[in-house]
Amino acid sequence: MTSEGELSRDELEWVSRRTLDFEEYVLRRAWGVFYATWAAAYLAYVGLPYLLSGLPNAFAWLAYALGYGVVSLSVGMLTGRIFFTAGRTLRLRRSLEPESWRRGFGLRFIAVFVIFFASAGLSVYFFGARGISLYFVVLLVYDVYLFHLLKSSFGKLSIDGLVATISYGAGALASSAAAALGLWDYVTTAWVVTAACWLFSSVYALYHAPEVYAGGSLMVERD
Amino acid sequence: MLDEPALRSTARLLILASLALNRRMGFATLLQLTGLGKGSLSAHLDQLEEAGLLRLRRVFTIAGPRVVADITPKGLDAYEKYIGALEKLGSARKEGARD
Repeated sequence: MTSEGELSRDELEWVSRRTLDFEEYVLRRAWGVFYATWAAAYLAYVGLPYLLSGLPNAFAWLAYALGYGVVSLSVGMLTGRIFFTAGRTLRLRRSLEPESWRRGFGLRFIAVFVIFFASAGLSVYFFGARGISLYFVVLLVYDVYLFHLLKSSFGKLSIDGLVATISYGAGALASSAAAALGLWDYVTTAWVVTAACWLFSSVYALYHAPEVYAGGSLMVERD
Repeated sequence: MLDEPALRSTARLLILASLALNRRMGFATLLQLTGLGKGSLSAHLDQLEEAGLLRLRRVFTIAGPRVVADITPKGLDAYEKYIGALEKLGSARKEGARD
């Protein structure tokens, strides 16, 4: 029931569906940039030790801290931006089916990242260099979260999302096994392959963003 | 359901909802979103700005000056009311289907 001058129920719901259609286009492009940035970050993470190997010990720690810090901060900020936009989109999508909406998106986001970074420090602290093997297993938590978010963004998982989550999971498992055995070159190879897959996902997402249809049939004014 | 007079238009509500998701959008993107003409979109944006729901700014980019719209706290409050209205409609529909 609407009073005079208010938009009707059909009009309110049309706006949300039109917003979601458009957001699919915006988000697909944003995920494309996300994949490309993370592909570059994977290469930077595995490439920095090779790049900095010639530095004197006195400066090496500073160069590592700066290098990993800048890369982590950049991808972290971008990730936060896209994850929160995806979270807000998810909320709008689920407002049409209110009982399925679970609150606390921000809390889950923070929890995943605390697990993500804390596990890195703790596993190396307790188990030395090979403790990183445990860290790679923990990366699977992030992969599951990414899978959930990608699937929720578009209603179903796209090809680029599928390639990204499978390659990431496989990369994490392969790295974990290689790190446990001390085969560090294989860890590098696993992440170079993952970066290549994410680059493919990026190109696919950017070139297959759904076409935005202009206008709409329910543009009404009740002034 | 929505007590804000500026939102008695699907075009303006569409702009507000999209801005609430993205926080900031350029004029060209808003043209794509609404499918309106430039003059019509400008008029809608002006009305939303007058109501305090968004803020228009001119920014300088490599490609030249661009107009961008940022959602305001009042705009976010109005969006929350819109989400609340959608949730109520969804619940009512569900109850109707159950009866």
